[in-house]
Parts: sequence; structure tokens; C-alpha cells
Amino acid sequence: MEKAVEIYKLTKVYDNKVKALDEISFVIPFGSIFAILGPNGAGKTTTLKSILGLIKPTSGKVTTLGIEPFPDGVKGASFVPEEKEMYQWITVSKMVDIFSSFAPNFSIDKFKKFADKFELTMDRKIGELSQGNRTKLYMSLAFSQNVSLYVLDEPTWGLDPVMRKHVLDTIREMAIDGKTVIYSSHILSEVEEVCDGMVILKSGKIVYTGTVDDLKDKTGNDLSDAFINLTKDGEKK
Amino acid sequence: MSLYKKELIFIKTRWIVMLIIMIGLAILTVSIKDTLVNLINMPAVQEQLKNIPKGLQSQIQKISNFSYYSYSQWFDKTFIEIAAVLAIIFSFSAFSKEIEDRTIYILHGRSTRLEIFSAKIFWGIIACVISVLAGGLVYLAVADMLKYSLPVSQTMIWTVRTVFGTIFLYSIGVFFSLILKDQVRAILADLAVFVGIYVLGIFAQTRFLGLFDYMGSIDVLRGSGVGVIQIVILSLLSFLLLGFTYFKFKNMDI
Repeated sequence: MEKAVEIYKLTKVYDNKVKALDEISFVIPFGSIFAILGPNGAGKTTTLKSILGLIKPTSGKVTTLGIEPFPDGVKGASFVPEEKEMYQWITVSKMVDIFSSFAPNFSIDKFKKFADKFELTMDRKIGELSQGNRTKLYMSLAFSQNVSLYVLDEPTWGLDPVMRKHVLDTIREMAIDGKTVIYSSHILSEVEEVCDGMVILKSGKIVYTGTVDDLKDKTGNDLSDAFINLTKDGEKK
Repeated sequence: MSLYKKELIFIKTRWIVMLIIMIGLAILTVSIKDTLVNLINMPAVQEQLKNIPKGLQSQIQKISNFSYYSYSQWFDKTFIEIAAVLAIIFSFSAFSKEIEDRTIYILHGRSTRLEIFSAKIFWGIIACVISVLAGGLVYLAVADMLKYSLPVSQTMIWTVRTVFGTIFLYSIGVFFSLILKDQVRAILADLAVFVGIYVLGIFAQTRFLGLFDYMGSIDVLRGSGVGVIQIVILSLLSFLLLGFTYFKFKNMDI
């Protein structure tokens, strides 16, 4: 198994002394769709940021696409953060022009296909877009980069069911093309639908790592019940 | 070009506005010279001037000399004030806005931290230098057109001093923009430091630290040169400050 990401005993303590991650270890294979789940404050975003080299590990090691990602990031990765914030005062087409000037392996043709699929209006200012449309634009930009790894933090938040389906279909197509997709989500039905593997975090620690089916087999529950059992206070598995 | 194109697009409007203000005020300052001198020479004003301290009286009388007028009304006044504003305008949002608005995630990973830092600093410094040069050179050109006698060497000395001073002030602004991660706090910190630098120039014991005193110095009228040592020190300090800011940026969590 080739590893897209390898995390070994990763601990992150922020300047305000909050321990966001506590010696977590797991591996994400190439070509898989991998979910990072957990309740609010579990350390999902910190894990994604560590994978991308946005934050410095306090201890432990992160290897993404064969390199240590901190401090310079991973040029073979494309990131969609939790807050899909862009430059409010420019138009969508200007944003595409700017993004294409520095984003590695960006394909304008690919973007146009996504823009059609997501029904984006090119001449509107980003500040005038709804949260859902901003998410669609961010996803279109990120998906139009031909890279090996896509890291998506709450990628379907604010999308209607039709657009959510488009995003999930695209994620599946990427995996078929051999790309690795890592994403965090609160929507467990999505995870059940598309993910090969997952890790569940609680208070910065791993409470489960494996496949969705394995978890359901082990717990005899549906995914929601298993998730609640694993992450509720006072219990550990 | 990559990120350089993006940074140019983002700084362009501010740069054009500041260039227009700088050039407009340079033209205005030269143009109103005769009007100001005529006003001072009016009998009623002369009568009033007798009531003010002797030192100030003699300074006002010297305004009819164009070199002194240029020093007192432009190079030691409006010119360096705009230069300080330029340093703030081009620096305060460099990092703080991207971090505050969370747009830094668009850049990071698609570019290295060095590429992000370099592109931002490059256009900030270029914008400061060209705007200051424009202020000095347009002032000289308009003075020449209106047949005022102003030695080119004096203009160039004030301009070059102000260029290096502005780059140093810009470096301070970039530092605060990154460290404070907040646009308003970055502006306030810049203003506090700039006022501090101004105050240092007032007292005899600390005058050597008064950057504004150096930028618009009256010594230039007395034949003083550009001050190579001061320029080397300012360049070194700017370099060190920008280097330290990059070090902080390289090691910070985003």
C-alpha cells in the first residue's frame, strides 16, 4: 500500500495551551477517499491543516506525498478550507484569472466544466454570492487543479441536495482517477456513501480508525449510532 | 509571474490613488509659492508678524527663497508626511487582511511561504519607492517649468533620503501587519511608532534617532550630502526587520 499521508504520534498544542491533537497516528493510502470525523473541537481541522503544512506540529511527524509539509505546504495538494472565503470585491472571472496565475496545474477548461455544472455566474462579484455559491466556486477552483491530493474541509456545507450530489460524484470520479481525497464532514450519510476509510477523533485523540463497514460490523449499529457511541462524553472505545 | 500578478492587481488602486495625491500636492505646493509669499508680504500680515517670536519671524521671511520654501513646505513637511502615509497604506493589510479574511488559505500550499512573502514585499517596496520618487521629481519638474531656482542636487538628496526612510517605515508596517494579524491594530501600532520616531527627533539627545529629521533635514540647504552611513544603517535595519518578519511568517501557524 502506497501512502499518500502518514501521520505518526502527531501532537499539536496551540499557543493558548489548548491541546488540539494528542499523539494521533494513521495512514491514508493513495487513491482512497478518507474521512476525518468528530464532534466540534475534536481536532479535525487541525489534522487537515497539519497534513497541508499550515501549522507546525508540536511533536510527531507528518508526511504528505512523501514530504514534510510544514512550512511550505504541498504543491501537489489542493485545499478547500472550512470557511470558503475569497476576495470579496473581485468578480468570479477575475478570481479565476488570479487563481490560475499561481495555482499549479490549473485547467481553465476543467474550471469551465465545473462552472457549468455548478451554475456559476462569472461576472458577479464574490461578495454578492451566497454562501452556497461561494462554496461551489471554491470547489470548482480546487477541483480544476490537477493534483494528487484534495483536502476538503466540510465541502458540502451550504449546498442544496443536487449540488451536494455533484460534489460527491466528483469526489468519486477523482478516486477512480487515482487521486486521494481527504475530507471532514458532519454529514455521516455522505461518509457512508463515498468513503473507503475514516478516522474518528474525540478531544484530539483517535477513537476509531478503519472502514465504515468494519465499524458497523463491530458495533452492530448504523453509522450515526456508532458515531454517537464513540464520541459521547465519558465513554471510550 | 504567478503571485506577483495577484499582488499587483491588489495594490494597484491604492497605488494610483497615492500617486495622484503625491503628484497633485507636489504641483500644488510649487504653484502656490508666489501667492503665499505675496500674502506674507501684505502690510497687514507683516504688522501681525511683528508680534510673533523673532526666530519664527525670520523663518517666515525666508520663505521667499525657493530652496527654503521647498524645504519648509514640501520636503520637510507634506512630502515626508505622505511618505509615512504611503508606508502605512502599503503595509498594514499585507498579511493582516489575508489572515483576518482567511484568504491566506487560497495562497498557501499553492505557493511557498517565501513566494507569498516575496510577492507582497516586492510590490509594497516598489510602490513606496516609485511614489516617493514621483513626489520629488514632479516637484523639481514643476519648479523648473515655473522658472524657480532649485538645485537638482538638493532635491535628489531629500528624495533619496525619503526613499530609504520610507522603506524602513514600510518594514515596520509589514512587521506589525504580520504579528498583530489585525488591520486596525496594525495601523494603530504604525502610528504609535511613527509618532515615537517623530518625538525622538525633537530632543537634542535623541535627534540622531529622529528619522523624519534626517529625511527632511535643513542640513541639505547648508550643503550636507545624502548621508551614506545613515542610508547603509537604514538599509540594514530594513533588511533585518523584513528578514525577521519572514522568519516569523515561516514558522507561524496559519
